[in-house]
Amino acid sequence: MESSAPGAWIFRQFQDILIIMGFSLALAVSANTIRHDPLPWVAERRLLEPGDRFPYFPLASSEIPEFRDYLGLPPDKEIITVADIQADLLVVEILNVFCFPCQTQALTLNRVWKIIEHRPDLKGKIKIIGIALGNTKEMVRDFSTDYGLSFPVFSDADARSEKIIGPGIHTPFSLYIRRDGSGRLTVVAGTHSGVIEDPGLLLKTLTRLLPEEERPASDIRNGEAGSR
Amino acid sequence: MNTNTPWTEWLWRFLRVFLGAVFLYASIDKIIYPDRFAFAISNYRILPGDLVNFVAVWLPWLEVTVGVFLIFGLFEWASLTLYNMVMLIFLAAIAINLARGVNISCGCFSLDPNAEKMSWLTFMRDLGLLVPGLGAYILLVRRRPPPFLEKPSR
Amino acid sequence: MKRKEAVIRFSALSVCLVLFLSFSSHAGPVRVGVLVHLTGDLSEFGQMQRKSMMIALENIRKREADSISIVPVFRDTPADPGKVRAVVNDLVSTKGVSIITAGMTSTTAWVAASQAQSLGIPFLICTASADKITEQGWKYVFRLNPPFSEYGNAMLWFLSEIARPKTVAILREEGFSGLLSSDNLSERCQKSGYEIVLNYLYKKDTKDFEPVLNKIKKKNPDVIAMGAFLNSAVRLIRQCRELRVTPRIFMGLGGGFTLPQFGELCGNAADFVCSITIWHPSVPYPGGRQYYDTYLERYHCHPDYHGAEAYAAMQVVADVLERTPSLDPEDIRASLLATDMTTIIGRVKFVSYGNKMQQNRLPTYLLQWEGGRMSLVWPPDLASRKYVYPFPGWKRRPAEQE
Repeated sequence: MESSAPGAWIFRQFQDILIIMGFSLALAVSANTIRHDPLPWVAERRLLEPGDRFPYFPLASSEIPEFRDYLGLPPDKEIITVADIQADLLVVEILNVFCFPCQTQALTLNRVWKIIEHRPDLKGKIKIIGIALGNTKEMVRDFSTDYGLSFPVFSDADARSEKIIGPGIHTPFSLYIRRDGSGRLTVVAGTHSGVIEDPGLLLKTLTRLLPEEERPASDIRNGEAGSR
Repeated sequence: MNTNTPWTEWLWRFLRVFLGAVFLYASIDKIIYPDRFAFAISNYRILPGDLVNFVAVWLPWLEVTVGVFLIFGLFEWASLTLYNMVMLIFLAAIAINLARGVNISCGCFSLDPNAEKMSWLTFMRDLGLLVPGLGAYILLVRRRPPPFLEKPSR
Repeated sequence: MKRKEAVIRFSALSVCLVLFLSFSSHAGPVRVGVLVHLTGDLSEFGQMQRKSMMIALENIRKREADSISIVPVFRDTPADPGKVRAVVNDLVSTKGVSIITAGMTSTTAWVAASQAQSLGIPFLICTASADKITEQGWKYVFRLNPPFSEYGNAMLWFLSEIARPKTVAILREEGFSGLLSSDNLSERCQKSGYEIVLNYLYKKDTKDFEPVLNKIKKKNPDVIAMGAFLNSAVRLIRQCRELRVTPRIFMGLGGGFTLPQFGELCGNAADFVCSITIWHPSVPYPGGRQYYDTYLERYHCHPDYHGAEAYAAMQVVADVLERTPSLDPEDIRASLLATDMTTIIGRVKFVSYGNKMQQNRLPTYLLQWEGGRMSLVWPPDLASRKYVYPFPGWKRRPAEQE
């Protein structure tokens, strides 16, 4: 016969609770292992690398109304992610508006943007966005005006980039995101830490990362190395 | 000894299936989009960073387990208690952030980033899900009373 | 024969003429106009700039014996902007300078630059910081030093990336003409999402800061930003120690906080106080420390960024004149545009961005006191040591010296 003492009964319930929690934890670990995804928040304690899936990073499209068409965003969505952007390759530049090397990098990106927009074989395929780590949207606006930027920059006042992209991030930090099989920008095709001053060099890097069928004919003719 | 009348027995079965289904439904988005769920948890600014990941991965499966056990009537006391504990924690987190005036989505059932931000209506809704959970204890005590509450049989 | 002889003579004469013309443009010294405030309230800076430029010229001559011979023509810049145009005209028409460099206030530089533009003479600014000077589309005007709007960048960068404060208290001295004298910094703090809990202007000779410091202590801000000359700076920090005012960071803006006397007079009360600057002898560009030591030894006085900018201006001018194919203003302008060199204040390359044209871009720096010395702690790639943040408090110090 079961002991009728309250303490014993409560202890049995407590054991049952632990069993359920343990069982659910085992399920969670198995499911996560099978999925083979990096842990969602602090991305496995390392910076994102080529081959990784670009994590969920919500951005406010209301900050960049004049760039909605450029990015091909759906009109009804206020919170968007990189996967909502229409492009074959997206440059995501993590920067700080007061950081001197980031300002240099922004000027390089501006020049690259102008080259791309004037080339029919690249326009619409490669796009650029900035994410300003630790800066408010007011400061980002001033920065975009002061530097005459032609590409959109989103604010990241809460410094989510550090958690989402990875720990120890040093601005400027570039990520190049490519389309996956379903046509959405989800795959990290390349990363770069630091400034690239030569717009020609950066453009060459970007065209090499385009899907083969989108690369400029001149690149294919010249026998450039295939994309990763 | 089960002292429920037939209709309170049916009420108990209905409640546990309903509450179990609520948890199963709530877990779907969280399992499909763990990164969005982690983001939603971090928005509450309650848990330290390291725990956010852990909770984001584990909590949906806890909901699944509790939901399934409730639906099939397994570990009734423990499942119901876990249900109520989780709902209380949700309610506390929502109340804290409403008091702070933070404008975030609840993330309770949907992880769509364009979903409505939480309000006191959200709180009332979740309270409306906790009340039957607490009320179900009355039915469970009658159905499966703890031994120290059972009258000794003559 | 006669025809053949005539052809030879004519060819020889032509060759001689060509050679003469090509060398005559560089024959003799090149005159460089220099506008600085040699008299009046700003003479301390003007004289520093004059001396610094002379040191630069000496070093250039020592390094390259056959370098182009530069003769600086110094002119005292009148405080009255109305008289500035006449000085510029005189330099160009009477003295025949090929290029002018200027270490002036923004008010006078604005006038001088517009005059140089209308005369079509290349004009290199090395001190005046008003943003608008390089926003006019003046193609003969170049600026070496950063514009005023960028002065605070090192501090704002550090705060937004590392400190992430919520609240700031500002203390400003009357007559202080640095970063805090305008509302630019408080506006930028607010735009950065920092709440300004106090914005206090005090009189120059204030000795007792206890009332305002007690107010600050109650508000417990994350940042205390102070714009002060030397005496007030010393008093402020000492009284912060006495009252145990403990923010997460002390930000000292203005010359008072970067002078060696500040460290000497405060002792270890100065420890961990930060300051921002455009130049400091510890910035790792070649020649900077040597310039500083030479100036100190020769004139028994510490040069600051005004002197360093003037030195760098002369480095640029010399480099441009070496490269220019002729002294034609268009050639000198083209050579200025093609400049890409490292001076004692950093890399010099004139670029256009936003509204600005022909503006050199330079980082600003965050310095921090520790053990009686200032070290560069931000940006991280130029830092000589890691920053100490947050301020560790007043308790854990070795025996204090007065």
